[in-house]
Amino acid sequence: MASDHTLDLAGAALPSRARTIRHRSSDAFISAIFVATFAVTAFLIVTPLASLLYGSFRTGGPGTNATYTLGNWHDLGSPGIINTLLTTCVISVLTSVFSSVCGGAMAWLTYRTDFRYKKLLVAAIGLSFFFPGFILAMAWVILGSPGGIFNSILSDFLHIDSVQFDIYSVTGIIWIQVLHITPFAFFTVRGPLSSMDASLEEAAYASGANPWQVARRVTLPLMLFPVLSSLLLCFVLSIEQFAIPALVGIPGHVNTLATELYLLTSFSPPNTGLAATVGLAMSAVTGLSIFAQRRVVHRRSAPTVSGRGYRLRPLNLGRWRAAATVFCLLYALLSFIIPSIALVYTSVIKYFVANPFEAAYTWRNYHQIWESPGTVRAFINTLIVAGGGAVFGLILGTLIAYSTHRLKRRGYRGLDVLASLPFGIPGIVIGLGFLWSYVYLPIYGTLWVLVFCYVARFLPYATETIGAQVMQIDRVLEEAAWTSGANRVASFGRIMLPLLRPALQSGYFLLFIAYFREIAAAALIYTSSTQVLSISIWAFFENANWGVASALSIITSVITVVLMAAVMRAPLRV
Amino acid sequence: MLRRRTLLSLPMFAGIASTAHAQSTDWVKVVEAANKQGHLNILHNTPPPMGDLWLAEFSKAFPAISVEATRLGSSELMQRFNTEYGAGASQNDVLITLWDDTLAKWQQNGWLRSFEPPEAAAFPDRYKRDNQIYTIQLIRSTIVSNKSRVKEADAPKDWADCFDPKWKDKFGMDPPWRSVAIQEMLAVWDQLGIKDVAQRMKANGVRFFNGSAGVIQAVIRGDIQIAGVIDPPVISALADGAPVRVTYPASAIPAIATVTMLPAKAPHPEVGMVFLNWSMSAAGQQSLVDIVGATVTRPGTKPPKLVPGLDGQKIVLSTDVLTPAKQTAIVNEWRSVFGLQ
Amino acid sequence: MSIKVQSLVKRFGDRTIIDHVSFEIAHGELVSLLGPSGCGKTTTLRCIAGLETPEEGRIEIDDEVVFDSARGIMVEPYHRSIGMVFQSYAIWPHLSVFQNVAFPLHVRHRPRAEVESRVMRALEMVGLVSFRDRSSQQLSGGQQQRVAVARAIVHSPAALLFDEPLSNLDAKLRDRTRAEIRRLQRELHVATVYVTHDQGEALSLSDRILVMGEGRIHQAGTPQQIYGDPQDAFVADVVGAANFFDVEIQRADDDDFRCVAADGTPIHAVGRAAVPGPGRVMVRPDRLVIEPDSGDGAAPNRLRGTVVQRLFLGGHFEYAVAVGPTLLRVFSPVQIDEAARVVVSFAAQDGIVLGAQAVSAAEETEAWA
Repeated sequence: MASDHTLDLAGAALPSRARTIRHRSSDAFISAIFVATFAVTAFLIVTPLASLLYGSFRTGGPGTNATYTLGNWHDLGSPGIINTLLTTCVISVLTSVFSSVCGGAMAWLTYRTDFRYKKLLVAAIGLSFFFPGFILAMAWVILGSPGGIFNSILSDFLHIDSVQFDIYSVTGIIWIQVLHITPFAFFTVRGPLSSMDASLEEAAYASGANPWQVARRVTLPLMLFPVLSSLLLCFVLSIEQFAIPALVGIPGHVNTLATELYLLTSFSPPNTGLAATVGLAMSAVTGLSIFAQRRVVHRRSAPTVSGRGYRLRPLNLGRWRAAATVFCLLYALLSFIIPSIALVYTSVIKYFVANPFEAAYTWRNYHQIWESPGTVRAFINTLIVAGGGAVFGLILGTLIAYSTHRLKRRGYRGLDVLASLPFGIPGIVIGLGFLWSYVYLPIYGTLWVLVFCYVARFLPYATETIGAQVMQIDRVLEEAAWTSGANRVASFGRIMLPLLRPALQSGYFLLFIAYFREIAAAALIYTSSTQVLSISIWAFFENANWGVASALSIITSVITVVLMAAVMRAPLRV
Repeated sequence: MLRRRTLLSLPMFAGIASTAHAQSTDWVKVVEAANKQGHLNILHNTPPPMGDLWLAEFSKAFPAISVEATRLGSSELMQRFNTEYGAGASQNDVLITLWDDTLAKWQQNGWLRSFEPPEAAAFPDRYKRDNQIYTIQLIRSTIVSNKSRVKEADAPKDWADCFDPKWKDKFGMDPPWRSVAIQEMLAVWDQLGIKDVAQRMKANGVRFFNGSAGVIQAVIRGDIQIAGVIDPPVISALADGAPVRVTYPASAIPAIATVTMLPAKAPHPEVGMVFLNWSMSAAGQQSLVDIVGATVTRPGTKPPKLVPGLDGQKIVLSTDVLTPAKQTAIVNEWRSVFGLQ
Repeated sequence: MSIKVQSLVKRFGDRTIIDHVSFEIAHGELVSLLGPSGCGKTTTLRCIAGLETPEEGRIEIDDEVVFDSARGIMVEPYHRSIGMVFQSYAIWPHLSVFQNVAFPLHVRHRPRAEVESRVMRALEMVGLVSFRDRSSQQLSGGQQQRVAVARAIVHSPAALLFDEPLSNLDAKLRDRTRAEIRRLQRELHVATVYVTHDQGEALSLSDRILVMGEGRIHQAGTPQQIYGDPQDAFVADVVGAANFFDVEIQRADDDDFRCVAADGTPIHAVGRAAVPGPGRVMVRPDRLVIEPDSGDGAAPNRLRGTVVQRLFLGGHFEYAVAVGPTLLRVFSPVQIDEAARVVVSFAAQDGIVLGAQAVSAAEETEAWA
């Protein structure tokens, strides 16, 4: 006797849910989500940009007796600005290329080969991620300046006077920036690389190619979109770097746009109109380049995550193993091990001496941190803004990425461009825009402003990372869900989201760190109740108190690592 | 509180006494009101952690008032106040920042409160501007050299010595487009008759560093050997025992003023008045010296240890020498010479 | 009728992919859409599934209108009673076998007990019961395909849609799976649309075949009808290997055509509605008899030629015989050496005449074949 639960072969189908409905808008809910996403994004991004646009036609900021002018746009073409622009581009292009190469290589080693120290490498990348740019620059000034540790070792210890390091140069800036930005390249490429179909590489390997050739001829072309994403991200990150060029470029007479803007906004007499103008011009350029990148690459990207099933059989490195290990070890040493040591050293001495045996040691830097009441509050604020804000940023980023890559409702291209606009504006100029526009709103002076500012500023991190992974997921997997009875919401939640998990993790990590490290934007809109740790560290640092700045950096880094490990539950899982 | 009968019987003395008492009576009321308001919002530019420690002294003196401080660089601070006050969103009771022409504009706009605290009587007039802007601290510029690398005999004694070719690539400073103090220093050099400064500095390989902090660090590290720089970070370094030597030239010492002001509209006006008064009191000024290492303007305050006090020094104030036109001229000239314009 | 398609039109840009296609599929019937790539068969299937929106037409599934351009009705795929098996299987990598198959029931919020029993029954039918908890990443191609089938049938849909499901399997597995699909479909008695470009699949599986080319249906019929009585050269070529050679049609009576081959040999053949004049005759390779040329005189339906190539296919030989300018393919168990002179002959009812108008279609499909 057949129980009434068996598969009734004679076609007693399940109650049909087919309804004849008039219009194609059965996903009214999805449409509403899309509209809401668009509206939120537009509000977050247009408001400060509009303020900047307004400001670019004024001789001064709000509250000053400013008048309308075209002078700022005229000054954009002055030789000084053009020169600075060229320098910035050269530095940024080189930084971007080297960072992407290093980050991509390490991601490849971790996710496509049988490299033996994967967990350590990921840990090293994660840890170097935590170094705020100016702390890294500070450490490298201690190490590589004319009076620094490396030169002391060379001349006093090894008696070599012909080779002398001078970090105060274009090379020095690129060097530190590459160390600083490589983790971003790693994380951008990680998601798509780890979910790629292994059989594609195995075919090449079976044809007799060595790992180099496999990487060059198979992996790289398939990873075109993520690699281009990475190049672009690194390029823009480099353009807006402020602290590293400020610390290392100024003594060497190297000026970048970001330091130029900082000068225009932060020092007397300020020229905020010109700053807004430069910021807008940069944003137009990067917005356009991202748009162009999408159009070129979108067509050609073949999905490599398909339901066909993939098995991650790692490739054998063979005799390349030693070279790979040395390369990764070097990176770890230069990006955080040696700088950490320099940092610890700086935190326990009264004033700088190159020879540790001659230094005056003290614990007072750590004492001063406990005694500062603002620091504990700053830490809590940082957790809320970075930890909680990153969730908002991730949700918005995911909705945007899905809308622009899959959903493609009318207006999606506009959303894409909108979301990438803040990419090219340095943090300090966005901060300016937010200050000007939000000062009239009641949320001013609360953590919400910081959260909004960060979400807007770093939106492209989320959309790029998640977008790259969305592209890699074959459309047919969702179609299978639809034909199995799941509507678009259910198919998104049950199929798309679980498959996006690596990118969601990377994205959250990226956003958390970005929010955590951000100084420039926050500096203009924070108040005492919303002070964050980066501000604290920067303030100590700017006032000759490198000792306390180092001590605070160390403490916060350690605590944050512990927290991130707990949140991500085995962040070292490869 | 004296009774009227007693007052009337001693006309003149009584008159003065009554004024004084009436004032102190009013002042007592102000303090009472301040204690009731119980909260201070202060926007200042004193470097941490000394700034917090100095404000803690105020809290000790007025335990009923809790303090919330926002610390910003002076330029950012002025921008912030501009934007906030212009939008009617200013939440601050007291402002402490460097003197700048912008402050005069605030006066014109009527954004500052006219108020003379009792302690102001002890200050010379040059430090009081329209009873609205009070100079409580001076930041002097000096010549600094690295003791381990520069012998006492070779060290520069006055500003002109810094241009000597023997200091090629070894002299450092904060660039003028980045520092009002340096602009003031250059204006003073101009007044002293030192010409073509920008070109000569460039020819002699001047090195720029990020802020006075960066400059001092560079001197200690040995990246440069001498520098022209403001003295607060030098005093901290000396206190730590760092091998730096500080020289205050006899010809002139450029100084920029740190001023305190009260916004016309504030959430806790009386608290602001009480703080202003305390910052100008002997106790407040001395604690500024002891904790922050500042050079204060109240006559009779003990100078910071390790450096000479104001007596006998030819101080040239920025308020007297540095006009906005001059600022712009200096910045533009230097930016052109160094290829940034 | 389980599936009704009326006057379907689908365009991409200025290309018409589906050009007024109509057909009906009865309850329990398996109909194949057969044709070369680009003929519109997959697009038609996707329109039935709801993954594409046609420009015009009307589609009904189980007597419910799921698409009607005139009345502006378009039902989303998830509201249609369908089960679909994709060419790439589309098994979700993050779910186990059980979870993959259970998915259509989970999204319909069926109770646990029902899910359990339905899924197990479906797995039984495809022979994967012991795999239920396995991760889908550990499956072979054939196993994934079976999971895809199980998933498509588990919720007893009114229509089953297959999109070239066997094209990624190796030959042996393909044969076996073919038989299983047939058995399964019979057991379930569900209306099925089966898209393929492989004539072997279409012939062996279908109750009816719709031969499609360039967005139109050329012929609809049972496998025997399509194979034995192709309406034009296109259909003939698509459904099986076919030889064509030119003739001059002299007399065109329905079952008795008299033609003359290029070398003068008289040809007796059958056909339909062709007029005297230039034409072509189609003969299947397995219908040609090959024997050494013993020098006998000319007779109707006997062509002389030379063996150009011989391939051994296990059960028979495959010959390429040059007859004048034409190359004929012959399947025969008889063994003859290459370069030998032979006679190739066929029975009259095995020769099918196609008129001049059908010639152009054949020209085009020759390149494909």
